[in-house]
Amino acid sequence: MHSPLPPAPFRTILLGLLIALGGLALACGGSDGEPTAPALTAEEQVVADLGLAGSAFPVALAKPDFVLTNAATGAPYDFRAETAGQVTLLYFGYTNCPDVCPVHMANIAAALDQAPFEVRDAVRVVFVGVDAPRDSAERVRDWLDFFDRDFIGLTGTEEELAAAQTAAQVPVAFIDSEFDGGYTVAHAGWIFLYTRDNLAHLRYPSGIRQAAWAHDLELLTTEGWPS
Amino acid sequence: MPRRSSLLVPLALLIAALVASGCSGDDDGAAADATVARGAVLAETANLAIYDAFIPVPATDIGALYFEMVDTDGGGDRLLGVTTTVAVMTHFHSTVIDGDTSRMLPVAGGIVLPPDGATKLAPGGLHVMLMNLVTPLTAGDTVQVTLQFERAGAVTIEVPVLRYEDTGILGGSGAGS
Repeated sequence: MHSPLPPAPFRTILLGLLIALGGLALACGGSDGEPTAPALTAEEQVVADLGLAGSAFPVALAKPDFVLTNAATGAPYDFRAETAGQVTLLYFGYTNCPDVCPVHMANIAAALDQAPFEVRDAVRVVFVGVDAPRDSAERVRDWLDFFDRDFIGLTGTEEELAAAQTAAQVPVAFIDSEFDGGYTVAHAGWIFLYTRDNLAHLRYPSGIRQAAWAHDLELLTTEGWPS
Repeated sequence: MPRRSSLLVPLALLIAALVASGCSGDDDGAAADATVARGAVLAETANLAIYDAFIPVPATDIGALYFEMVDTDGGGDRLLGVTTTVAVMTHFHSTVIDGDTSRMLPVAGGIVLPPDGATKLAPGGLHVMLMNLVTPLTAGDTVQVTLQFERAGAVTIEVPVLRYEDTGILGGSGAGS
């Protein structure tokens, strides 16, 4: 079983407090403060210029190389090969997630449902069920079919899932809190978007809504990431 | 799957509380959800009122219940538990973004309704998790839910089951938080 690095509580707490304070300072900056234009990276400049809802990585990430199992067919699914050259959304979640996972899926499904055919046809949505004991192929498929039958669902063993998450450079999921009759799973909070150049320039937090997805997906499937 | 101790839980909650309560007034985006006009009151007691309850159609046998509770007598209250015949168990959870990880943390001791305040259960934050639904819920269904409060006692509401498209969760544009 994969074991994450031991937490460094004090460093983390300090960092967390600093982030919280920084966030407060940013969020509460009154109109009397001097507006300072932060320096944007080249990637952030693209996001600003195109009005994208996603957040830019400082440096774009390569599409990860991992193989899991396609929940629909039971066949191996080579993520990098299968999605080569396609606008691809990659999400690591779990089917017993009642709150953010279904909202993410519902937002993307609604955006694609109303998108022009060329956009819808050009986007691959890949969901990885990271909760191996409960995310069976059948359950992953049932869960995804509720939102969109074209969404691709992947399953794997603990080891395969950990390898996939590591390859994708997201935190490896872990059992968060256990309670009578179940447990919750901590999992990557961002959806990564790979453009046709097979790079993730953008990631999307929970809370991105239908209209923002529709905007970004249409632009990135028709125009692509500017080279 | 690895387990991790709950050392960071209080920290994450603290950060969430700081950010949530840090300022007010000129928020936009999804945060504005908290300030949109409330719908019809679903239940009213001597000290609080319940608004805008809904259950998005569950994709599996796990669901979520959202609503807003508003203090009306300045005394505050505490939601201790939720029961419904459609779920074997219910739990209070809060979704917290902890760095790059999305976590779902138990809310111990109930959900606080502050004096003269309001507490909104909403996607990406506080919610009542409906565990092991005994019957599939479909859009148009109504579910009877009993909320147990410390002061108000038992309050029963009729909760509509809504398609995601009809919940308001997907509407609007831009990023939420």
